[in-house]
Amino acid sequence: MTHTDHAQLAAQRTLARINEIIVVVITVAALVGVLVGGESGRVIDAIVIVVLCVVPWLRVVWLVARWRRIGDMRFVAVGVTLLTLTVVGVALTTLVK
Amino acid sequence: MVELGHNLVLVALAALTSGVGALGGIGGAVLLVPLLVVTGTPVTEASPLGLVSVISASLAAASGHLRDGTVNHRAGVLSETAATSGAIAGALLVGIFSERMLTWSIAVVIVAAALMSGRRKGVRWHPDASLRESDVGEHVGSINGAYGFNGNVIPYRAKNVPFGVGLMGIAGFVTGLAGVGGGFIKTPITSEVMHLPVKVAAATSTFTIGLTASVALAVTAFRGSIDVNAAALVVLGAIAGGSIGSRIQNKVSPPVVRRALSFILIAVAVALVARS
Repeated sequence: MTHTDHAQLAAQRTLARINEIIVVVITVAALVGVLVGGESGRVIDAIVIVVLCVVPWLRVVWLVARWRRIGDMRFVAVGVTLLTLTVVGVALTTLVK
Repeated sequence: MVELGHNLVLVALAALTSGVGALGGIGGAVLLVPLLVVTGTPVTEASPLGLVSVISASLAAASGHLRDGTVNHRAGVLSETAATSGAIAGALLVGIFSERMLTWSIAVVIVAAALMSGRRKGVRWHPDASLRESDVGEHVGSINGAYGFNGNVIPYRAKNVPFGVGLMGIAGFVTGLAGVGGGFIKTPITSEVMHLPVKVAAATSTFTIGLTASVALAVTAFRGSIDVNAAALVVLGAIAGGSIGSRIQNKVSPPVVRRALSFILIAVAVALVARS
């Protein structure tokens, strides 16, 4: 199993377009939050923070789903381990500190 | 007027540090946080802003890296798994070493990584005329692959993978103990130990540091210790800086990226020691 994952680059280009839209939305929302100010601005800025926390992990979920679809089970296992470790790590850090 | 000036300085610092960080795939927080502290921001407020800058710059750089196939997701997920395991262990054992000793240890490792990157001449991987643009990408079941640069396709094969992954775990442990992000160590390990091309290493590290920072930011947000208005300003600066930094990195040759990375790493070591 050492052949190039040809389909991944094509899929990544679709993901790149989605990512561009997300970046534009985050930029506009952050700008609106700064310009509006007050409580409404704070709510918009808080939503931006939540989006920033979630979006990077959606990419990992997308990767694991893709690898599973093409049968690259070794890296599916690595991806699932990473997702599990992260959940356990956040829970432990939150509980211990 | 004073607040407007402060806001503009915040945006400019985020743009500058994120641009530099995206160039070497190390994230800008390790430069931004000391600069914010110097300009009067308490460290408890500056640290979350650093995390916001890393994620924003990572997202801004991602589209280019995804489109041209420089990021190696398999290498990223593998190294992040090792680093996360180490970081959890480190975070749970915080306090067993003095902060000063940890900071100086990390600074020495960074300087060593800078020397390794900077001293090496030429390039390890050369274009293969038999390969086409369709060969750019990752290999199924391994962290080998090929990337495109200046119309050529350059294949690469990872080496010392178990050793490199082990080092990622140790790096995660030490950075978890010290409470700093490990982006500045990931690119040198990926490039100099695992022998992935420096442009691939930087793009891959830019992806993984976004993951690490988003977890740390979620934990910080859960405790409610983020100034969301300042964070929005950092987002604006970091997205601009991350986009520019990744575009520059995409255009310059691998030896230039390596030398730039060496200079940035030396600056990071100085910033870490100064911060301590």
